[in-house]
Amino acid sequence: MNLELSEEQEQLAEGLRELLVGSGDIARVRRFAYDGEDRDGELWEQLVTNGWTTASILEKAGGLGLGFEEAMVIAIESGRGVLHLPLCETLLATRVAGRASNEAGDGLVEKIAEGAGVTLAVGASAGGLNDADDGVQADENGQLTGSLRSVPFGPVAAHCLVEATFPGGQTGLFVVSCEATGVQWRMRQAMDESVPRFDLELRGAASESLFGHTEARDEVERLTDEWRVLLGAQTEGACRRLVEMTADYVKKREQFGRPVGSNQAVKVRVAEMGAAVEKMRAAIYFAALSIEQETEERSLAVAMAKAETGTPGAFVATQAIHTHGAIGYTWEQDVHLFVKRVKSNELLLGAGHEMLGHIADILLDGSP
Amino acid sequence: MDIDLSPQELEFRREFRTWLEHNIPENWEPREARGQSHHESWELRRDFERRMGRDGWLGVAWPEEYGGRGATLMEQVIYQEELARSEAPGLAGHVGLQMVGPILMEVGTDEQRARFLPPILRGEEVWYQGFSEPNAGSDLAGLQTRAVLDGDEWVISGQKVWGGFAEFADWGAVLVRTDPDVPKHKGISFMVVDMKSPGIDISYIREIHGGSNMNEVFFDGVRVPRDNVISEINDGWNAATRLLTWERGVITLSILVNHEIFWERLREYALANKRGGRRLADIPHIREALAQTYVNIRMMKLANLRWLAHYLKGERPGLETSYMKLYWNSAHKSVSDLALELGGADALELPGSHAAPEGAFPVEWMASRATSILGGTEDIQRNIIAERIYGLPRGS
Repeated sequence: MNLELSEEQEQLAEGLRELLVGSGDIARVRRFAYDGEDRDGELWEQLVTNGWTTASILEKAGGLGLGFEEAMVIAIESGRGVLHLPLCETLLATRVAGRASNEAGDGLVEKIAEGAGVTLAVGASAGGLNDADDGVQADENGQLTGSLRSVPFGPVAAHCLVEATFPGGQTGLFVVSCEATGVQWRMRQAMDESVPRFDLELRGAASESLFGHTEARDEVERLTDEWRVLLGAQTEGACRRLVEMTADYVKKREQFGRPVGSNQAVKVRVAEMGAAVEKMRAAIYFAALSIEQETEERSLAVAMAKAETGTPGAFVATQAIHTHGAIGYTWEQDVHLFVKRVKSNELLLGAGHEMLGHIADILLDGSP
Repeated sequence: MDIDLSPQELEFRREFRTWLEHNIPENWEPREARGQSHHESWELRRDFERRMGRDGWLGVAWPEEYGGRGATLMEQVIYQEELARSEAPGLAGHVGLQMVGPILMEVGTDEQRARFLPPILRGEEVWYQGFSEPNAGSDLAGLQTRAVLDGDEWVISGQKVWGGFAEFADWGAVLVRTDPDVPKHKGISFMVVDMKSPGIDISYIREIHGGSNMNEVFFDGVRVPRDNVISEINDGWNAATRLLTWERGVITLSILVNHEIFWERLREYALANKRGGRRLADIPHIREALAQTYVNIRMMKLANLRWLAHYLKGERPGLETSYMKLYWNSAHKSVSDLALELGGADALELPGSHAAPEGAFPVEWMASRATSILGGTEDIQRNIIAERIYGLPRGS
């Protein structure tokens, strides 16, 4: 029995935190994500060089050989730093490509090992991201046609995993090069600018299929579940930092000649924010464990983690704005960067009520 | 990470579960017991507890040198969980087993250990906890019950409240003020009082559900031998706060088993009952409430298991127990609120009026109102979190 990180996992978290803080932390996120500077190739390169983007690749293939618990740890830190690069998506793509254990999968892993970033255009069949008008269809030659809305990072990554249907109507999962012929990206104005979002238009784009007709659906569901946990983990990291920022602020900010944090009403807010964050931590641990150990409770555990980071995440975020007072409502204060990430993560791949509905299906009808 | 039990732990669970199956009194009705008073089932409880003592199932956490099993922390959790799961009678001896015993082992004298520990382990002597007072609840250190030395005896006068089993108790573990002229935390001592002494007057407090399980205890010139002080004179606060932290740390892990059992009953109830021609389990808002309540209970458990991982590594329970208290309250309130919602108008009637299961719902709901108050109110926990975890300044 040990529902806590190991020392190695703690060190992993510290390592990424140091790198992100050292690279400029929130100021850097503002510079590249919000103030319109070009893509942050430099930080991506640092993430590659230090092994973060290849963390999920097996050691014999040139990676760190880390599992899903470690991916969760990395996601927590990327949320803590509102990281503006597709690190979590790349780790998820590595895992699913590794499970494919075929040429297409190995090829993608190889490219990730060489420093490529990958993003994900999946989730339509899970009822979450990209409820596109018509989705994407693959023809007999694996050429993809169709559209998906609001894909995170888009061409910031080199490759994209696309959920599309085979000619027979079955779900498939395909690798597409983001700059290939027949691939078009149109940037949207996202609320959370640290995760730029793009509409994807495919017109006979070449692709490689990762799975056959029978396996792909389960793999897409599994990938979507893993993504939910990493979104939840990012939220936990962002929320934990928001509580710290809020506590620091109310200790320093004075009104009526004393710190506003000496008022019990303010203390109650901070305590409730802290209580929400500690529960989130337990929720994502349990979900990560259920994925790592492939337990029967995976679907339930993931839904609980998404629910427990969703509505409570938004609670922590909005309390952070409020507790900072008027300054918390300004562009200048960093709070909104975290709030936007947390609120976006809440809505992606199933918000609280949807997850509770899913949990009720499992508990009352015995089916996920 | 992993949340599996070891083979030894599973064997420990199996052994205790089997013992409970064979030894819980047949005429014990756990569902009726809620809302009843202890004295209605006192003899049955006594017999059960002595049987536990006889077979070595009391004080499992105690070291072997004091007659315990030296159970690991994980085994202690399993033990508490199994007790709860079996819906066995709550232990009248818990004050002695979980508080007085461990304290005596740490700071008691050899004479005190030899006199008091064995009967606790045998389930023969029951202890009363005399901490709170009418004017010292959350501010426990403000307690006013006085003890004055007179020759070789302390003379105690004052009033205690909220403790249970006083009428049946052999001994009281009582906090008293021995020095009124120093800061309040530094003038408190921890005394052992013979509860049959002259000058002790006990009455019952009737709770909102009608049962009476908490006492008011009046001390009027009660004389206690000089040696009955646990630890040093004026060191009582240290011992007492240590007990309260422990109380929240491990006990909350077992309490949630009660909520799990109750939630499962509510699930079955929702699947079996209809309202307005529709099965309760098919009504969207009830489905969501069942799911949310399940999540609250499960999250309380997972959060506790995470901290348990730290205790298993040897850390002592600390400030995180304040979070545990908040989660417990949230889980308990949501499951008891849900019960009333499911029962609807039927849940407005008390158990005596009909035999339907929803008769127990309002009793459970009323009993749940105590959770945010007892063992340190929710408000005090939030202050602790804000001030001691996040470092916010103390109020003016």
